[in-house]
Amino acid sequence: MSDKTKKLDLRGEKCPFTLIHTREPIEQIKEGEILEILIDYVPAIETIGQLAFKHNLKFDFERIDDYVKLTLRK
Amino acid sequence: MTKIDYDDLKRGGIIQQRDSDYVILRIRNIAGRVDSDNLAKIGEIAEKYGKGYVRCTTMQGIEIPWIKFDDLSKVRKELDDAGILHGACGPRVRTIMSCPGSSLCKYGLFDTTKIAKKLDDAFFGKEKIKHKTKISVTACPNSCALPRAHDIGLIARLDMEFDESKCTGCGLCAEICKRKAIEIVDKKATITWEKCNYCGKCPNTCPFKAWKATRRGFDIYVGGRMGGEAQLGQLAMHFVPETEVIDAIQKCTDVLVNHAKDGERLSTFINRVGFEWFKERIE
Repeated sequence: MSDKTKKLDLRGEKCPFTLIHTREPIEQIKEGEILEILIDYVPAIETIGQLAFKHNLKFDFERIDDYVKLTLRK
Repeated sequence: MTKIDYDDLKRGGIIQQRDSDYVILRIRNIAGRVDSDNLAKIGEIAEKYGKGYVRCTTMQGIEIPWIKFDDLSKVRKELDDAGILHGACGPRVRTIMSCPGSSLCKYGLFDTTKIAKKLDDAFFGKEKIKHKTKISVTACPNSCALPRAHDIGLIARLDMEFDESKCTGCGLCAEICKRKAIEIVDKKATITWEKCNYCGKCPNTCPFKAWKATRRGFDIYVGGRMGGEAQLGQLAMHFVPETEVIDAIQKCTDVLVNHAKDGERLSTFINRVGFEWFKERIE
């Protein structure tokens, strides 16, 4: 993994902490950087997706067992 | 002895308390909105004429209890001068309820607060119906303003189309769909329309714009109510455009005015004549 990948493990977190923990890291993603978020609280996926839209980020989604991996990049 | 203005009383919003020297004054907040200066004024009146507290009603209104019957005219005038609206009681169309709507809520498909204002202008206090009639407008199928628990309930829906060439099969829409209507088959989203409730989440969330919003409108449910004889409203009209909502509700209240017996609420009326009979007359 390159040092340009940041990881955020939010498994077990519920709202509003899912938003509080993701808002700044998402806003601060720079060109070429990747932010990986592990999360199991489904409603937050939508909120994070909309934040990604707002900041014009590429957004990937992958379900792994009982959680999902969101990959955001600029 | 204060002179009683009977015309004023007929407009409603005054409820006799158990102690007959006192009344509860009901205020209507269209779509649940109270401007801060009005809120301060209501507090002032509760302090000056009541017992220093108010109650929130289930219809998003405010009631000021412990107003002396003799102070009624004075208090009504103070409220009128401040532009605070009277509530309703009795066999009339009540305050129009609404969810926060699209200006506040990310799921909202319409600004229901504005629609509630239009409906208030068109229907509030309407008489000649035989029982109370409650209307609620809600901006998405989450139904936060409890539309199916009201005599007439509007639920916004968003229709969409699918562009397979844009779909990457990421599975995000399948994940967020509350109705589990979407599955990923051969790396493409596949929808079972029978399960879809047209909430508009997939077109609003898809990162690749594979889901595209098309028409939006309101489903109108009739005959819902809470209380002792609780029942849920039934779907009477599907995808009514925003511009036709007033006409649609007018048709429902017209049938009530023309056919309901005294004391019949929309729900009891529909239970007597049958839902299909009612539906034919509003088509």
